[in-house]
Amino acid sequence: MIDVNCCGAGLVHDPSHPSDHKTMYQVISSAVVAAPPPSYVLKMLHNNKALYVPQNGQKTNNAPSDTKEDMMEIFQTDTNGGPREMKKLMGRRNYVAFVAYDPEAIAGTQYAASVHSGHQGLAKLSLAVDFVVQGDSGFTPPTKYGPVIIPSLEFGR
Amino acid sequence: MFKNIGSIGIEMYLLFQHHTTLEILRNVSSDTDLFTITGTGWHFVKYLGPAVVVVGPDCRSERTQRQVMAGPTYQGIFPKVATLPPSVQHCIWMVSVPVVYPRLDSVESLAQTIATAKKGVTGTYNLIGKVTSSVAGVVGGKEAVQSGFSQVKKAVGKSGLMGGVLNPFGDIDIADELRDMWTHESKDLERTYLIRTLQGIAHQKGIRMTFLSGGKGLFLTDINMSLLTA
Repeated sequence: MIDVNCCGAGLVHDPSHPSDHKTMYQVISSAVVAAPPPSYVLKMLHNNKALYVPQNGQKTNNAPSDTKEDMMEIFQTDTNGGPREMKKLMGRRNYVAFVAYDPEAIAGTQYAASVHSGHQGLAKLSLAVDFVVQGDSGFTPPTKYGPVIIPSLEFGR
Repeated sequence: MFKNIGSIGIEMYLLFQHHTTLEILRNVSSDTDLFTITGTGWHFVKYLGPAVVVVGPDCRSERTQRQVMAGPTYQGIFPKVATLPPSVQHCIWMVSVPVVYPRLDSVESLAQTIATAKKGVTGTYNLIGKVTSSVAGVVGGKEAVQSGFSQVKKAVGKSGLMGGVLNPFGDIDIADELRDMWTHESKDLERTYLIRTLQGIAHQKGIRMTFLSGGKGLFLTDINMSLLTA
């Protein structure tokens, strides 16, 4: 049941050093062929307990450390457009799509990246993750959530 | 006999997830396709172009009550990632069960949620009870289902923690599935080791590490593995 049969996104990160090497995203997607978790389980998972990763070799006691765990609130509305209380996990049939793109290329002109990035070789790529979720009826088009943007990591950060 | 179930599980995992067999793999000497470290789990490192790599550690074959993967497996996979070429910017780890996931373990939040959601729970219970008893009635196993349930309830619900939210099938799932989670106490040190080591490699190499998870239910092998550990 907890196997997770839902979708969502989380991350571990160091709040005082955003997007450094300690930041790792967690993308959760499941086809939900079986039934999704009952709503009370999902509700219990939507707690605001602060979670921290301890240093290697130590047991987790959730004392503040340099790595905090968080779930992202990406489901602001339900698939029918109504407001939604549980914004972190959604127990509906879904898939995710990853797209690697050059953020400089879409910010400027079409050819900006190859001119401006300066360094040779590949441009720095970000990943955009879209969550595509099925609604109650199989006949309505699915709802897209996200994207969750996973930036590249600059060397040495 | 249980060992046999496990090896059939691995056979099926290779066949359905990777369209291959042990015999074929044993005759391949390169690591570009699947590779093994302990001889039990089969893992892969695949390129999606020059900048994105997908790592697929086999989180099933070496699973026991206490570990997701064997120690030597980590010591074999990590160097492969740490020596990826500099073109690689993103490393996506396909691990069936999420590494980062909220916890259910707070008694306070449990009690609070039950208080507010009692109505919903009772509704679910009745619904499931109705469905199972009618199905069991057809095959004449109604009492068997019920007595089996009370046995499990005795065993699992002893702590009283989940007593209020048990249902005929859910309880089995909760105990079993929670144990399978990375966030379960039995995997705590292993999980921290995975996260901290990946942070180290990320720092060293400038590679962004990402976990992609969720579809454990898709893997036939898991069914076999939970039989193994039951």
